[in-house]
Amino acid sequence: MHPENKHEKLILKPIHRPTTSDRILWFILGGIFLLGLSAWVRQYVIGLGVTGLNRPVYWGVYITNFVFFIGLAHSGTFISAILRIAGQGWRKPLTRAAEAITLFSLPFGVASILADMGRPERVFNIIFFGRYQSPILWDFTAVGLYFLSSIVFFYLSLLPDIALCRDRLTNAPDWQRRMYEILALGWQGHPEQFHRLEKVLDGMAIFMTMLVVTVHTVVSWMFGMTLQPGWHTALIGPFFLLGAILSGTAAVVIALAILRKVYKLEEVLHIGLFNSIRKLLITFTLGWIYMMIAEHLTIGYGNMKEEMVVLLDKFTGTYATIFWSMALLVFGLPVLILIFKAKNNIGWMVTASILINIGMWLERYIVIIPSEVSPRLLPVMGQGIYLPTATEWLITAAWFAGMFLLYTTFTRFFPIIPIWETAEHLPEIEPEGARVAQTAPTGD
Amino acid sequence: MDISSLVYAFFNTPGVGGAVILTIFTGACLIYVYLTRWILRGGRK
Repeated sequence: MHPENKHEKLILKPIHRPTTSDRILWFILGGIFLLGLSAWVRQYVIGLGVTGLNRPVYWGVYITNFVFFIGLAHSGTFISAILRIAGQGWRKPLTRAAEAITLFSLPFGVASILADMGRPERVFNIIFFGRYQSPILWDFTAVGLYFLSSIVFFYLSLLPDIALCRDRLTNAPDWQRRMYEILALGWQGHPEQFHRLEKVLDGMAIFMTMLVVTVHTVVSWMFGMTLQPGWHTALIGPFFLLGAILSGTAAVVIALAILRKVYKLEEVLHIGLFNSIRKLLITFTLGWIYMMIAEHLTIGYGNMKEEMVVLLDKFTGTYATIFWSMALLVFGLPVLILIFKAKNNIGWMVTASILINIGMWLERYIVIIPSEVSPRLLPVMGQGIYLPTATEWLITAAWFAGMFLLYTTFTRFFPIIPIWETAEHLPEIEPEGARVAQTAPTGD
Repeated sequence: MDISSLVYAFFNTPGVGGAVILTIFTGACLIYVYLTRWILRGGRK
């Protein structure tokens, strides 16, 4: 038994044998990924000296990428879990596209940490010698559990659609049908299965919401628990979290617009969905600027010597160009575009979202680098200098290419719009049970 | 051993953190496997 969805054929259409353009895209992305991987191997052999990292700048572009990727990963949980709990039914066609961003960006967040470690094999020391007073251990636990839970949440909500692929895509190659058969775990589409699936997803949505707050707060505490100027503030947790949800939601807009155009999904991903996300983006952008002002104003009024060195470096010093570009890209331009131009206009929505994501990457950079260059113990540590090298840029490009590669490959083999969640009718339980006669999933 | 020593040991002994991580991950895996099986059993006698 499968749900009845009038858009089923349209949603399944992108799943076909890879075309030449698919192969060219995969080749390019795979090539960039391999290039970056070879740069990482070279870095491992020669040492971190091939990067711009030095004393006292231990975290550079790699940790910027880590925070950025973890931020992107919040998109799926926000759209799927938080909006699910809030009962926002309009989110249904977006959920899988958003969750896929979560799933495919998290591994590269972790890979960014490994790239930052000169000796990545030492990551196991956390297991053997970990102490719970260390924020790194909190981070390891939170990110690890978030990754595991995201996989399960994603997989469970994909399960009915894998079974549908198993039964409908009979012309697919043998290995592909076999893959569907194995991954479907014998799903039969019984009404009771749908009922239980909804119950579990509702419960997990609450847990995932708690995790999403925990993960980015703990990521921010890696900074906040040190006494470095610019980091040691109680605001850093919510500030990081809000920035993560902002960049994640903007990433969902970009992904949806591309999917809509390439796979001709205009009927399912209608303009109304983009208008709903537009309102969220305006709210988050305003929230972000509020946090930004609150943080810098408090530090400025404190006028503490070490803090002011970093603050002035951002406002008028070495990092002023990046700082003000970031403010313009995350807030100035997007808020104007979103309010005055983006309503009923996907092109402008995408423009604003791209600006937000470039700006959010710069924001992560500007949080990390100036504090490291001018640490609290400046007389002891000395003034730092940091300029990323080609190795760091190559590895950065590789991680982004890897994420796009996984995403595009996924959309060729699995429905990127949840068929069962957007169905008009789900299989119903026989009257004897009289428990569930739902025509739409619960929780919305 | 009093409670304060236990708390101190939890936060300061190398390896305890690793054990906590493994416990959390193993526990989560078991719960997720159980939930998946429970969903799939739906409707089967």
